[in-house]
Order: sequence, then structure tokens, then C-alpha cells
Amino acid sequence: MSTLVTRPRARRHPAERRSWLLTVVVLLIVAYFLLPLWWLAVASTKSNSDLFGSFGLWFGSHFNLTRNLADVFTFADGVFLKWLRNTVVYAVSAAVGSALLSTTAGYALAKLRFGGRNLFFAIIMGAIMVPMTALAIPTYLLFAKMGLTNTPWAVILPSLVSPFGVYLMRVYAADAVDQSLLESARVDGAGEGRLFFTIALRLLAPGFVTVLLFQLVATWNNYFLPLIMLNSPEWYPLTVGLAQWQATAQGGTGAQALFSMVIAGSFVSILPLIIAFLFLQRYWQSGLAAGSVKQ
Amino acid sequence: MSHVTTRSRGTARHFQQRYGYAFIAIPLFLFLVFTAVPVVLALGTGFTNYSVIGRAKWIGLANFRRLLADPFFGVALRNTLVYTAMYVPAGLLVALGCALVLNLKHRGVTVYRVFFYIPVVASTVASATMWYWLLNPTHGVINVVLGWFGVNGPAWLYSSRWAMTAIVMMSVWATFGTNMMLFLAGLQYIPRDLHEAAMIDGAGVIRRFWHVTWPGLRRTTFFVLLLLIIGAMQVFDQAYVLTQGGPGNSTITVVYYIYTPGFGDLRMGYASAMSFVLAVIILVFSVLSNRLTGHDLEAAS
Repeated sequence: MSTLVTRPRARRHPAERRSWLLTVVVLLIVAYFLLPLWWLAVASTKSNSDLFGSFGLWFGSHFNLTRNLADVFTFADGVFLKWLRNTVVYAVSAAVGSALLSTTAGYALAKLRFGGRNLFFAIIMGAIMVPMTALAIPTYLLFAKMGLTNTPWAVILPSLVSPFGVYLMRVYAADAVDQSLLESARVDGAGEGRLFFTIALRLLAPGFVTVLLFQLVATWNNYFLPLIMLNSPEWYPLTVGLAQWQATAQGGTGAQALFSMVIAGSFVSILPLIIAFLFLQRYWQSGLAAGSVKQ
Repeated sequence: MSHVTTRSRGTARHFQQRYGYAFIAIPLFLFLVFTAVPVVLALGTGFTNYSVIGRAKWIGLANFRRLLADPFFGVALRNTLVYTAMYVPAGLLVALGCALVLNLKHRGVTVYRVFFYIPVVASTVASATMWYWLLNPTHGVINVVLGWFGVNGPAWLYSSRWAMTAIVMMSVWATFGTNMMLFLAGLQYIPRDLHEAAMIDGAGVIRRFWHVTWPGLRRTTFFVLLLLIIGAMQVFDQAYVLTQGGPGNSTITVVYYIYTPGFGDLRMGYASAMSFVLAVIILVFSVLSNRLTGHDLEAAS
């Protein structure tokens, strides 16, 4: 750990003192961020009595992971599997839709000249600053008028476009697509459609993946929107279903037996996103970088 | 193809216009439907006593007047501001601190980055089921470890004094990864020569931070601050899953309170009025933080 702060040309004594202090701070932070995850991994292997009876950061007397997983997937006729399927459908359609729409809109804002461009950008900024949660009630009323509450559309449609995604793609496109390249292709007679599909789209790929992942995570984890829009459990995503299990377990009256199942269910619900993130993290980082720094 | 090469500048402009509008048509439509229409609808419904069943009646400013006198809305607003006052600085400091440490070239840093990011992809609900246990006054890891050092930990979620702090601890844990990434990205754009020049001039770590790093991160800091404030003003999931607003209403937040009359008692008119007020408050905060950092987000490239 001491190599952390020993940099070339730094004076020696203060550097060593700092390094000791810094190491402690780093260890505390690492504990703060990693121990809860470790706890979850360990707890999902525990039986219900071990959850209450054994130390949280180490395994209990029984290794109960398979039993817990079986409970998760078979409880109430396998409703968890339905929730998982719903979550995948909502998150994937929102992510793909949002990435496509953000890419075209971001490209248009950064690279095409047309009247009303600035007005459109102002609308996006407004949408970032007055986010959906604050407007949940009127959005619900709107969907109720259209007869779309308690259908998957109520979750997918509002997630189809993210103002943050459009903003990010605009910044990314401004940088990634060379204006002179576009101009010379235009002089050569390439149409705007061909310019976008053959030249720009490839250059915009990292931004596209960033928005895709961003919206995948946001929709996968969205709780408030599906909570207000859906009322039959068969349409629930994982978040709403798990929260309901947790509430039942917390409610007591013998339902505490559900706790080990809720914890294993939470563990299962996180895994797909961790895997997606690990595979695509290179893109994710470079895309986010553009959005926050350059503007 | 010959007609293409002789195409006038005006026609090229015309094509750009057409593609421009085609490319923004769907997003524009969706933004209007899901942002502009709800704002108008919130204001419109806010002037009525609409309650799903039965007809809505125009009642003028009654909902807004009631809002001012509603002690629960006051409590919810205060709790939300308390949460914001703890969460925003804590989130900013932790994210910036971690980014500074991880920015030092060091073995294993990439692994830390990945691990630190995992809480972000965990949903608030999954995080809450976790922290519900970590924060347990008797079996919870936090109090057990505090006990090793002779500290008698508070009852956290069961204490009206500590419940909000507990929720902040969980929220910072759950969201700090994104902000850390943003800061890390920002740090990449501060020229190394600046640091080296300052070092040659004999500036220590702290002076280098104040005169080189901090000014260089201004844009990133603004952006992170905006995200933190907007997120904090809408806090709901944690309070709903972990504490149901308790104990003693100490974790009732504005969105939580909007949800209750709206979906609990179906008083949509009143809930809409509150939604509109919250939207305005968030907008004001966003614009203020924009002004305070002296950075105009719209003055882009």
C-alpha cells in the first residue's frame, strides 16, 4: 500500500507519514464499499436461523445456497422467474430504444444544421432538471387516460428515451465525428442518410454502448415507476416483487422465514448487471468521460 | 449521379434540415409527452379535487393553500432537505476522495474501480434488503464491529434520530460509483505538466490540489453536484423499503408524501399540486447550482 503515495521527487518524511494515514483511510473506504457486497454473497448461502444466529461476515453452520435458490425460483409457482423475464423485457427494450434514439438525436444536434435546434436542446435540459419521479402522479394520470396502466407499456414507454442519454450523445458526437470528414463526403455527393449509417454510426459506437448500459441499469433497477403503474404481480419487475417479499418478511408474524429467500433473490437480481458491466466496462468508461468533461 | 454533384448549397441545407427533424422527431415527441404534458397536467389537476372516482371540480388555489398549512408536507420537505444536506456533501467528498486515490498509478487500481462500481448496478431495493441487515441494532455487522471497539451503536433504522443518517450511509454507498467515474474521467483531462510545474515550484500536495486539481475539475464538480442534488430531492425508494417513513415520520420525504395521498387515498388533485411544487423546487435548485458554479450548461460547444 505504501507505493500508493510515494511518487518521484516527493520529499521523504512527510510522504511516509501521509502514506500511513492514507492507507488507513483507503482501508476504511474499501471496507465501506466491499463489505456489504461480501455480506450479500455470504448471506445468500445462509439458512434463516444462521442469518439471525451467526456473524454477518462469515459463513454459517449450514451451506444453504442451493436450498435458498430453489426457494427463490419455486416460491408462489415460480413468480420470481416471471419477474426476471419482465425485468429483462423492460430493461432490454428501454436500453435498445433509448440508445438508438439518443444516437440519432445526439448526432442531429451536434452535426446537422436545422432550425429549432437550440430549442430542442433546451427541452432536453429541462427534462434532465425536472425528472420523472417528481412528475409520477401526472404521468400516472396520463397513462390512466390512455388505458395503459398495469401494462408493460407503462414501464417501457417513459423509459424509451433518456434526456441524459441524448445529452451525452450530443457531446460525444461533437467530438467523435470529424466535421471535415462529413463535409468532404457531402461534397463527394453522399446523402445525409449514408453519411450517418456508413460513417457516423461506427464512430459513435462507444457512446451508443454507454447509453445502452446506462439505460439498462436505470430501467432494470427502476422501482418507483413500475410501483405506481403496475398492480398485478404478473407484470412486476424484480424490484417491485423483491420489495414486496421484503415487506412481508419485515412484517413478522412468522413471515421471517422469507428473509433468506429475499436475500438470495437480491443476489440473483444483481448478477446479470454485474456480468453485463464487466463485459462492457471499457466502453462505459470512455463514454461517460466525454459526457462529464468536455461539454 | 451527375445531379448530385451539381446540387446547390441550398439543397444540401435542405437535406440536413429534413434529416435533422427526422432524427429528433421521436425523442422530441416522447420528451413532450413525458415531461411537458405532465407538468401542465400537474398544474391543471392541482387546481381540482380530482380523486379518480367521480368528476373533478375546479377548486382554484385551495390545494396550494392547504399545502402551505399542511404540517406533514412541512415535515416531508424538512426531511428531504436534511437528507440533501447530508447526502450531497458526503457523496461529493467520498467520490472525489476515492477518485483522487484511484488516480494515482498503482497496481490493483483497476480491480478497485470495478469493485467500487458494483453497488451502482445494484438496485436500491436489493441494496435496501442488504442494509436492512447491516444496520440491524443487535445482529447487524455495523453495530457488532462498533461493539468490538466498545462503542454502543445506535438503533439506526429504529431510532428517529439516526434513521435518516442510516439512509444516507446506504445511499452514498449505492450511488458513489458513478460520481467517482466522472471525477476519474475529469482528472484525466488535467495536464500533467501543470502538476509537475507546481511541484518544481515547491507546492505541497494540498496546495497542488487547491491550485491545480480543484480548478481543473470545475466542470465535472458542477455536473456531479447537479446529479446529486436532483437525485437527493427525489429520494423515495430507500425510505419506502427500509423504514416506511418511520420511525415517528423521521424519514417521510416529499416524494413519499406525494405517493401516499396520491395512491393511498387517491387524492390526485392534492398530490398533483405537490408534484408541481416539487418540480418547481428541483428546477430552482438546478438553476441555482448552475449559477453558483458559474458554469452555463447550455453554452456548449
